[in-house]
Order: sequence, then C-alpha cells, then structure tokens
Amino acid sequence: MLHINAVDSGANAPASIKKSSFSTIANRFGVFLMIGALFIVGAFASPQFFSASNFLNILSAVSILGMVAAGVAFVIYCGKYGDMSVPMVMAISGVISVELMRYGLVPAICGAVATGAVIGCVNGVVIGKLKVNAIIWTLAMNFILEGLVRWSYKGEQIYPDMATESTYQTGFLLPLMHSLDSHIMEIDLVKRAEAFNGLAQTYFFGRIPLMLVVMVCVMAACYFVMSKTAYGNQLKVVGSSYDVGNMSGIRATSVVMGAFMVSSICASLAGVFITSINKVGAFYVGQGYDFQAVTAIILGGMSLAGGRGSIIGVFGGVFLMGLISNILTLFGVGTFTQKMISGAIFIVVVAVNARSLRKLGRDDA
Amino acid sequence: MSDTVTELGRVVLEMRGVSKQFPGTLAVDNVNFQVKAGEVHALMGENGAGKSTLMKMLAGLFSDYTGEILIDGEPVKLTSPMLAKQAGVAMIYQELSIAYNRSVQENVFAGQIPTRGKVIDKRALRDMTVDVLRHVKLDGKVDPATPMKNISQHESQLIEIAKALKDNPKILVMDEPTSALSTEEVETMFALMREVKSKGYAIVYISHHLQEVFDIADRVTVLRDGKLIDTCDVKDVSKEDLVEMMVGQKMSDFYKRTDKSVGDVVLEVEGLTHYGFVHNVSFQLNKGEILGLAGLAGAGRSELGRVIGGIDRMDAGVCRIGGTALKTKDMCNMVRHGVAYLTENRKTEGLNLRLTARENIFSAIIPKLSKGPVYFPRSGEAALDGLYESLNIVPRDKNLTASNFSGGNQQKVLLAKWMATKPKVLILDEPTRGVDVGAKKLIHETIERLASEGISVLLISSDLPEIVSLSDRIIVMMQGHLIGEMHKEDGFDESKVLLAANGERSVFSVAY
Repeated sequence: MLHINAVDSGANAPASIKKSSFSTIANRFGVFLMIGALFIVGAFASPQFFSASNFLNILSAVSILGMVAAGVAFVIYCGKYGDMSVPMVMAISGVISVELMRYGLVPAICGAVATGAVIGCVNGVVIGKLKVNAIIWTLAMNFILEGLVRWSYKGEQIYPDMATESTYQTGFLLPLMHSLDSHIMEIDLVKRAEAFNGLAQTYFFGRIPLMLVVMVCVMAACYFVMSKTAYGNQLKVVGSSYDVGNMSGIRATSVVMGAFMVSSICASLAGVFITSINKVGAFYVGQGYDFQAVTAIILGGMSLAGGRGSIIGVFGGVFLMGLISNILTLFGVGTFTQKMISGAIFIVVVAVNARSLRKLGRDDA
Repeated sequence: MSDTVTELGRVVLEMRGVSKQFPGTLAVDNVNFQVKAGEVHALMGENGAGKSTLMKMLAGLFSDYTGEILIDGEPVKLTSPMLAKQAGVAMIYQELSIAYNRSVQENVFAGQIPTRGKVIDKRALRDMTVDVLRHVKLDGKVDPATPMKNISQHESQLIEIAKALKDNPKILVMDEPTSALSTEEVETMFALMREVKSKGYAIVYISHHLQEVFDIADRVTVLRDGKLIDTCDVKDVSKEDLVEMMVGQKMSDFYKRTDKSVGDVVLEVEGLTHYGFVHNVSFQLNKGEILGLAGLAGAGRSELGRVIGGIDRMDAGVCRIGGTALKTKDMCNMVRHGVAYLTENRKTEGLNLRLTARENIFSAIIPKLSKGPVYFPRSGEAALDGLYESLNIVPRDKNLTASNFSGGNQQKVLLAKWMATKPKVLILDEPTRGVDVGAKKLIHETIERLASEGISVLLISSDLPEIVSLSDRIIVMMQGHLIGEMHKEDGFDESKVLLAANGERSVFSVAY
C-alpha cells in the first residue's frame, strides 16, 4: 500500500525517487546544462560562434584558469574553502622560471614547480598540522610572498630577454648565479628568451596551443588522482568529515597537506605559462585567479562543504567561465563590465552553494 | 496554565490513516493514532519504526504527508512548524535546542523578548521567565540570567518543558526526555509529567526504556516498519508482550553464551597513563576473549579505549600487540597492526553521514583495497556483500547515504567498517547505545561470533545486562585507575558489576 501526496511532485513513489536523482544529476551536471543553454545564446550572438577556431579561442583563454582550478579543486574537495596564495604562487614561480631560464627551459619549469611544491608544503604543514584557518593563512602567505617578490626585485619587473649588471643584484637566484658563474653575462639571453616566450606560442597541428594541451593533461592527471587513487578517496573521506577521517586510521593531516601541495604545484605550472604569455615576470600576473578558480569550481558542482563533486565538473566550470566571457565579448560587452558580471556570478554561485550547505547541515542532524 | 484544562479523557489528537514517503521507503504507512486529554501515551518501536517520522509530521516538518490530522475534532493541515504550534502541538526534542552562550531567560523567550522602545526590558523578561519556570518548579532554583551552559542537563530539560508549556499547548511530545538523566532526576521528571497530565494536557512520550513506559504511561502504541501494530492500555500488557510487538518475534535467550576456549595473550597493556584520565593501567587481553571494561561515567573507560586505539596520546606505559610494542597516538599504525576502535560518537566520529554506506565501510581499508597508489574498490565488493549479509543491514542499498539509515543500521554500518579491517583486537565503545532491540540482538550475536573466530574484544559498555552476559572477564575502572577484575567462573551479575564500579572491593576475583 502506498500513500503518496500529490502536492509536492504530483507523481507516484518511483517518481519521487526519480525526482531526487534528478536533483543529483542537476547538481552534478548542472554546469553542462548551463553550457548547453549558453550554446543557444551564443548561436544568436554571432555566426562565428560555432566555429572550431572560436572554441579553440575559448579553451585557450581559460587554459591558465583550468590549471589553477584543477589544483584548487583539491583544496575545496578537502573542505578547506580555497587557496588564496594562488596568485603569488603563480607570480613567484613565474619569476623563478625567468631566472632559471638561463640554464634552459627544463630547469626553468622544474625550478618553478619545485618552488610551488615548497610553498604548498609550508601551507599544508601550517593548515594540516597546526590547524590554522586555511583562508586566513593562505591570504597571509599571499601577502608575505608579494612582499618578498617586490622587495627582492626592488619593485622592478623582470624581462626574460633583458639582463644588465644591476639585474644580477636583484632577484632570488640571480645574485647567487652571478657569484658562482662570472660568465653568466655572456649567455645568449635573447635566444633563451625566445624559447621561453615561445612556450605560450607553441601550437600542435598549427592551431592547438601547447597551453591547452598542458591544461587538459593537468585536468586528466587531477581527475585520475582524485577519483582513482587511494589518496583521492582518503581525501574524500577527510573532506566530508575531518574527524571521521582522522578516526578511520587515515593520516588526515598528511592528506590535507597533500591537497595544498597539489594546489600550489598546479598554480606554479600556470605561473610559468602566464609569465610566458606576458613576457614579463612580475608580482601581479596571477591577480584574480584565486576567486576565479573558486567560482569555476563551484560552478562545476563541487561543494564548499568538501568531499563532493569531480574534476569533470571543474572542467565544465572552467569552460563555462570561458564561454560566458566569449559570448559577452561577441555581444560587445567591455572588459570592466565583464569584471562586474563575473563578480556577480561569484556571489550568486557562493550564495546558492551556501543554501545547499545549510540543507546539508539539516541532513546531518 | 490552568485555563487550558480540557475535559479529561476527550480525544485531543487524532491521526487518521497518515503516511509519509521518503525516497525508497514508506516511513509511516497508514497509521491511526489517537491521544486523549490527561493521558501519557507512550509511542514505542525499534529505531526506524517510524516514531520520529510520525512525530515530525505532527510538528509540521513535512508538507507532503497524506491522511488526516484532527486536533480537538477539527481537521488541520500541519504543513509548517508555525501551523503546528498554532494548532497546539509542542515538541521537546531529544537533542535540546539551546543557545548555550545565552541566558535562561533569553532561551525561554527567544524571538519574543519584551522590549521597551528599542531596548530590552530586562525586568519584564526576568519576571516573565520566573513565571514560566514556576510550571516546572524551578522558579526559586534557577536564576533567569544564568547562561545556559552553566545549567545541568536535567534542569535544561525542565526548562525546555517550561518553554513548551508557556505557549499553552494541547499536546506535548517528548522524545526520549530521560536518556541523559539519573534515576532521581527521572523521578522528578515523572512527577512533573503526572502533574502536567492531570491538568488536561495530552502527552506523547517516546522512549526506548521499557520500565519507564510502565512507570509513567497510561496507554502505549507500538509501531514496526512504519505500520501501527497495536494501541493498548499499559496495565493490560507485559514487558514481553511489548518487546514481541516491537521486534515481531518472541524474546528468547537474549544473551546466550556458549563456552569457548580462550587463547594466548594478544594485547598487553602495561602502566598505560594518559594524564588526567587514565593512570597506570595494566591488563592483558587473550585471543578470542571478550573482556568487559566496566565503570561509571567519567571513570576513564573511553579514554583508555581511545589511547589503545591510537587516537589519544599515551603519556607513559607500553602497549604490545603479539609481543611487539607499538607507537601509539598514530591510529593509522594501530589499524595496520590490527587494532580497531569503534567510537561511542557514531554521528560525529564514527560515520561520515554524507557519504554512502560503501564509502563509509571502505574508509578504513582504502590502502588495503589499493595496488600501489591506485584504488580498486571493486576488490572489496565481495567482503562488503558478506558484511551486509551477516549484519543484516537494511536497506540492502550500498549506495545509500549513511544519514538515510536508521540509528540501528547506522551502527551496523559502523561495525561493518571496523570488521572490514579484519582486526585482531576490536575495541567497542558502547556498541549498542541508542540502538533498537533487533539491531542490539544482532550486534551481540556478531560480537560473540567474532570472539569465537579468534578476535579479541574489549567491550566498554554502560549497559549492565550487555556487559555481564557477553564478557568472559570484566575489569573495572574507577577514577582513572583499574581497581579490580572479575572472572566468569567466580560468577558475576549486574548487581555485582554495579557494586564494583562504585568501588566495592569484596566482589572482585582479583582486586588491585
């Protein structure tokens, strides 16, 4: 005997089950519904919208954001809300890569990623082991790193193809390089700089940018780690409830540490590319990527409560961000207006997420 | 409050054929329920029987129930808590709704604080609160300005009742009001309930304690699996009848114990100290033995369990498993060496309520289900099926979120999580607290089975019949010290264990 009320869903029992799974689907894949809707809008915006080159444009415009978001997703997945040190990790990795570029591209990239790993490790130890509030700490870290970069370079920017005696008095590794190797001034910087700046201009098949390929690879790797490895599943347990994770024989502090390391490593990779695009290493290159990443991640269906969502959703969120900005541009909306719109999106997305968080709270009671 | 007196014996509340559907389950199935003025009506059933859902329906928490609800003969639609309150339903929940940092008066009048202009009228607030507290005879005892956090559990409970009574309800619903109270406090509570009901209030009383139902209730309604089993006068039924109605089968040999041999020492604890809680405790646990750890609340039992389980630090002492001393305060290491600690706080430390049953059960064995860094949850599926089968976890759905299981089944999932680690030493901290009769029986049988399979169990329990019937040996703690040990062959029963826990040394086989 089933007694079902018609008020709510106007359907019978199986339908009410369906309804709940529909809302799960909407939660998980809502971002792809939004993308579908925007496709329709885009078709009206411009006849060029549905062209391969426009889609490549959209994707390459969000390549940097994609790399950052894939990393920050680990932090949000472990229930720590966000990594505010991302902008400066990008910047510092950028300047380190410009400095190390003198020894070649590979050392430059490795050095940048190692820098990111070290910063991530510090964040992880402080937040994981000492249980400091993640937002406050990473924000403070961001300020410290910003001060460090600006102080080290005496406020100057660093250009890959330019180096004078005075350049070697500033920076992190340059004075050391100079003192170790007096012939360093003789390195053909112009050629090296071309290779470095060329990172952002490398294309496969003449049109697929290297950055995009790297972003997809980072996403794929992050997807694998989050969904298919023991670490990713422990992260899910810890992210859903830290105490339970800790009381399941999981080393929760190490798991949290790992999440911050992934975030910083991804950000440093993004930092190398954005520096290569800008052809200048400077403290401001990563500005705004912290909030943009969080927006994309939450748009992608990841919950700020932790332990929910997937990298596939994050990819959708990143693509959606690119799509919105592309369509706005096609409609002729200016950059400043676009900034306001993306701010508004951030507020809406967080508000909606907070609502579902409250609902979750009631679930748990 | 005397102005609400209704004619005693009149039907105040009638629920006719009410049902409530949740995804996947019909939580309340066509139930008829009547409460009369001036009676205490006990509502009983195992966890998941539908008691709470039925009462939540009455409290207006669901907008999509079906069936009719009549209050004083008037049909009402209780689709919001506001409407329910207006209709005269007052709820006193198991988990009290208290803002601990605010004062008594602010809690009692939350949302209705009297003001003079824009300023709080402190004097009026105080006087009104004293008036309200008079209902529960706390007017001289509790200062309305005291912060709630300084009020005892018992008095908070009474204040909550006073708060409910101030709105002149017709029906008072009390969900396990005695679960955290001592014996005398329960008596005070019952005296108050008798007084309240004599004034014509109808009281619905939810409890797991059979004895309390016989002490206080006039009529009893039993639910099972969402269906009404029966409503009868308490004086016409026996405890056995009630249990049979709740469980659906005869209560027979609740605790049966077959003799079994006990093997070598598995866990050896020497001079274990956790400052402030556990002092210089030494004992041995043998293979296949169930060792009961008895003591009063605050004796340090859970703390001892947590140290051995690797959660809290060990300030001094040694803990050996199979002869090797282990580094404690590292749960990961302890789990790897075969120690499992099942927490007493199921909802906050035991289960991840937002994850599925499968994810919960696997959460402690993720490394075991992995090859290198890659996780293969499929490889645990067979073991998972076995656990579901042997523990009879209902519903069978492994992808169901843990919060959607009833309390008893949540506890089974938690037990399954630790059984999945294949422990050598299983520390069970209150394994059947807040669990229905059926699940309790099954958990007891499982503990016995595990012991006969060679797992050593350290059983921490405040449930005397449980610890007495299951244990091969009982050690007793008092104020952080181990004070003695009782052997099965010397005979122990509930009263001896209770005496021992209170420090009576003559009952021990070996007193320390």
